[in-house]
Amino acid sequence: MKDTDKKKISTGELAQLALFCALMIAGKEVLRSIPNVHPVTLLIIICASVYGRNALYPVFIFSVAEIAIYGFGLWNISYLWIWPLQVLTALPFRSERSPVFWGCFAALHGFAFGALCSVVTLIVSGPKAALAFWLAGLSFDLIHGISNGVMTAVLFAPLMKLMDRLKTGR
Amino acid sequence: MGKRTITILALVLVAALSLFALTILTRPSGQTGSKAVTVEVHHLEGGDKSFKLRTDAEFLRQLLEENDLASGSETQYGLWIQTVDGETADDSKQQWWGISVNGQFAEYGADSQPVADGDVFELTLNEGY
Repeated sequence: MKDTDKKKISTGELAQLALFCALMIAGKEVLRSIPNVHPVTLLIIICASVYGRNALYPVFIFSVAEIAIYGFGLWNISYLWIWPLQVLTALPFRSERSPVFWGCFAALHGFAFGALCSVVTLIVSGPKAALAFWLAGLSFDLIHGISNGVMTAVLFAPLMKLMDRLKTGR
Repeated sequence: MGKRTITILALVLVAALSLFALTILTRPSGQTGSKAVTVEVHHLEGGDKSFKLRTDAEFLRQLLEENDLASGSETQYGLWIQTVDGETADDSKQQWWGISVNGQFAEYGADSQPVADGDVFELTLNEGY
């Protein structure tokens, strides 16, 4: 764990985390006419790289906000664990700066999204329903993974440069 | 390019190819040729109807449209059925048309629900989400 994780969150960092949360919600809603294309995973990766485990705060609030927007359903449970899982899986690699690496990381999350969502179906309705749920959404997982990968590979480096300037104040 | 990046790149390629293959292999496909099917319409206030139809339609949407049984609006997921056999679901009362196939709630929408010989489709107007 890095030192930045141990200390209390400063007011400035709290504001930045809140902005990240707002960006996640806005980014997802702006692109909602294109199924499964959104910048949330990219923002989560940037957030986890810069703020470490504190990235869990905006991600959790984002999940709750999405539930507030779209209402209650089984998918709520998936949202509450899949997005935080992205933070937790990104943390061990937070010093990595290769756009290709993060593009691949984001793509894998997109490809796995349907499978991860079907865990709830598996528990509630059994293996046959979970398999049907996963197979029915495969084409959406493909779109999710490819768009995640391309968006992150292209935008990771310039956004990290911006974040470095924000952190150093130059 | 680091070893870690190459490993994850390989993983992504394998995952993408596997998903693509699975998508193609598990894509729902309908039977072509003449098929005899039944469409049962359950209205909210009774007056249920049963239609015995013959069709070459591969998917339910085509079957419903060629018999003027259903209409609605286009969404990114295909046809959103709003009117069946002249009765329109009233959004303000949380009414919606549900599809069942051979007694099971349909896993697909009208656009991708395959039509097979002997199938019984039920279109039921429900109230409350």
